[in-house]
Amino acid sequence: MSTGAKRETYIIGAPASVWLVVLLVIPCLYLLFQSLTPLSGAGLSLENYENLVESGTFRKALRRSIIVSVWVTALTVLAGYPIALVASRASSRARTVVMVIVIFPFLLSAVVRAYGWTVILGENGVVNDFLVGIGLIDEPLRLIQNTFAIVVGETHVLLPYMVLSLLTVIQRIDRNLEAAAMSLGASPPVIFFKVVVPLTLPGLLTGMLLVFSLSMTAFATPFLLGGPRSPILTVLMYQYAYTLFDWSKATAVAGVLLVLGLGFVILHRFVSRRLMRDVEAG
Amino acid sequence: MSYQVTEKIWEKPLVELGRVFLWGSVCFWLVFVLAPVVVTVVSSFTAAEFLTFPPKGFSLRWYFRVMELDWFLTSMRTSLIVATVSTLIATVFAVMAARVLTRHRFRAKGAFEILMLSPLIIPGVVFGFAFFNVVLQFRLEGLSLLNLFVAHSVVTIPLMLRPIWSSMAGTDLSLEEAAQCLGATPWVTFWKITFPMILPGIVAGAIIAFTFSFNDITIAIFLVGPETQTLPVQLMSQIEYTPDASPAAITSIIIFFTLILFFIIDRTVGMDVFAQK
Amino acid sequence: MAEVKLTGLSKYYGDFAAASNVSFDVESGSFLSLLGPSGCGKTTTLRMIIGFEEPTAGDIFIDGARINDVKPWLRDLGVVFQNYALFPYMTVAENVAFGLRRRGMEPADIRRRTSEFLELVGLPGKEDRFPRQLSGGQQQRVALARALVIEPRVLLLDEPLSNLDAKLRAEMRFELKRIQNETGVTSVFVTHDQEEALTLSDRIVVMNQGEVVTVGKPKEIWERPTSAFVADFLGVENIFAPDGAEPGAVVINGKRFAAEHDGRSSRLVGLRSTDIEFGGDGDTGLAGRVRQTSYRGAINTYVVDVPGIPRPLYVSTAADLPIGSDVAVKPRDGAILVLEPDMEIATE
Repeated sequence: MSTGAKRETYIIGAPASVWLVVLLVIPCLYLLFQSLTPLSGAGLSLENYENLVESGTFRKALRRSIIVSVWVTALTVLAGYPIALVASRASSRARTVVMVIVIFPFLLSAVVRAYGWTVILGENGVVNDFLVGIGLIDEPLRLIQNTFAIVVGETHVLLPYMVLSLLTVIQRIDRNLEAAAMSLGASPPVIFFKVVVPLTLPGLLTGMLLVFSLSMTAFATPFLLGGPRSPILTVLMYQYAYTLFDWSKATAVAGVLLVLGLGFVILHRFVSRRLMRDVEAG
Repeated sequence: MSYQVTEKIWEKPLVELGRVFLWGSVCFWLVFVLAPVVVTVVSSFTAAEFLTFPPKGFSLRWYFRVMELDWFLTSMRTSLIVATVSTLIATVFAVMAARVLTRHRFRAKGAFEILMLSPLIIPGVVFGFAFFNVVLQFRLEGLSLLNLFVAHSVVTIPLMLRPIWSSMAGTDLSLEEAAQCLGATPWVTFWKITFPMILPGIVAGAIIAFTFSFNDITIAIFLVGPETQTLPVQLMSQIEYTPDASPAAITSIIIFFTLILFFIIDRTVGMDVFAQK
Repeated sequence: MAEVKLTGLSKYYGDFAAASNVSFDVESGSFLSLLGPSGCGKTTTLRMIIGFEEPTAGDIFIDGARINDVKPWLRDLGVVFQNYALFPYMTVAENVAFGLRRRGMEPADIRRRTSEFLELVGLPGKEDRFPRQLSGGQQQRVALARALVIEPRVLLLDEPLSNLDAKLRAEMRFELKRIQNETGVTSVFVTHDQEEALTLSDRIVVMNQGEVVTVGKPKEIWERPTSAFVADFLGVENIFAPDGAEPGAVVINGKRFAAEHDGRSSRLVGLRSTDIEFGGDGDTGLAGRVRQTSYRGAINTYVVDVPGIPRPLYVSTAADLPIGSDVAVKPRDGAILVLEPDMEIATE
């Protein structure tokens, strides 16, 4: 039974495999196939993709996706690093408080978060009321239904991923290294920049990759906070598919997203394996 | 003469500054994380006709109001049904997959693992579209409840698999062997020995899967029908036309239940389940 | 009570032979040990008897019936695992009763039997404890009770004492022997500890690299190990190739010593350090010099360089000599072991 008879493996493994192949893999492959079969003619061609690349809407959406993802990645690093540092070094109670606050939004619905941000950033929201109230501005700022709102919302969604991936590397740092550095005459700032930071680089890099890729393929938050006039790639795909019924463009954007998603996973695996090996070897 | 470590004059202020900066930025970001939640919950208790923050007065009127909203009650019911059924389906598949991954040796194991985790690899919105595409192809859009069950069960398999997998991997194989030596068939062994041992993992996984399904917009947006709007999708379309505090009350109710589930996870398996990749 | 018979039992993983052509009998009611270093195939053999590994070749018989194809849960064997494998969320009583429940026994009988066997293993009244509330030795006893209460045809023990500290291990050894005597159950015991095997067993099967090296009574195996591997495993310190041999004697450094030798030249000789004494003259002894000594109370161990023998000899004796002393060493009469050369002998 430790080896598990072949037949038993099939019986237990097959249902889930069939379920996922039939309901996930085949529909995605079919979508890819459709994206490669243009309306104009028979046979496979990249025509849909060529049309897509030529369209200004697509290029704008792609640019917006990348800009948003860069901002979100930068902000999650800026926020995640101090939080992870404090969570790993603080007393166990402070640590629990920090972790609860950071992780809890994991379980929150995108609608709930987006509604919260609307209350804060909306035309009559907390921020605008405050700024108008102190007389800094006369007219409410437009803080919602634009790229800025997407960046804020996505940073909020993806921060836990960054914190957790930094936390795993920070916790793995041997505290004796710091003690050793100290006994050799290194002061706390030197220790932080020469010992701690280099050792967290793998977690930082994999965290950044993860956040960037999740941000590139996120839908709900950009859809709710970005508004129809500033679509990122995923929202554009939805618009093509659901409101414009432009199947050839929609499937092509889906193809782009699929390749992006797969590419990031492969890159992430490669990088994390490589880095972890270096850390363990060094 | 020997070299000495000298303390530089700027070091102490720098350390202090660093500490202030560190705690300052942590506080700022924690406020950032909590802000949308706190603001929503607080403003849901307003007594005024329109949503404001800080709220004017205190009342529970919006909570009583939403209890009379038809769309809220029906979509809540739909969401609960969809989340429950899809979680049940995913549980069965995830437990079987976890068993194969922990207790069996076979050549295609790597491929099997990737297949089980593939819903995490493929962007949710692409899966939603791909599934919708097939649904249209076979003219099954009338069966939207069934479509939601099935689609959600697909995406939640890997979410459930992770905690179940790790609790099964942590269960000593010799316990199962001991039970078999004592006369328990594999079926009895599973229910008497393995199942109780992996129950915390199943509970955690089920909570995560349930929350995912209950919260989902990305996939549901393609699949809901007019009679089967899920709560998040319905809420999304209602928010635009609702300037009063009823959406705030609804989101607060959701937040409250999410908090309960969160603490169940914390008590049963700990928050580490979120850290596993 | 039942007898076990293995014939040509083999387990291959690809080209790797985890167990190869293992054959032996366990007489009804007797205690047999499978002794060998880790990776020698003893656990694989045990797991084939239990039914967790499918033999690549060979057969397993219990009371004459071939059980190769019988599922593990139908074999009626009691197994004690190295880590005890007690069900952590069940009480002691529930653990012991588990096998009885599977057999559909009446609850009242289960209770009676359970406490009966807990008494047998020296844990009366511990029914409602949980395993984590017990010490390692007590957990061991529960595991034993759980395996025995179903009155198994054979009791199989997989290194059951190796997780205990030295003192407890000695105590449990006697307990195990007592319980086996009281129940008279046929037992197969897997261990890498020669002392456990020697003290507990009626017969010992020594295994190495998947094969049975020798089978015998503890006394035979201890006093007359047949091969270099067995001798080395049983702690024979001095094993080396003699200069020559003839029927009835071996030649070391040109001197003839009586030994049960058949004259085949490939054979090695073994000498326990306690079987060598200082003394003898140039004719009867071997001249050497003390390289090192270690004090061990009543007996001192000397490392003695003897020119002509590739390895220094270990000699344990009560004599008290300084390092550098010139000595003559002499094996006791009849102490020379003649060994099959089944392992590499390290030289300096």
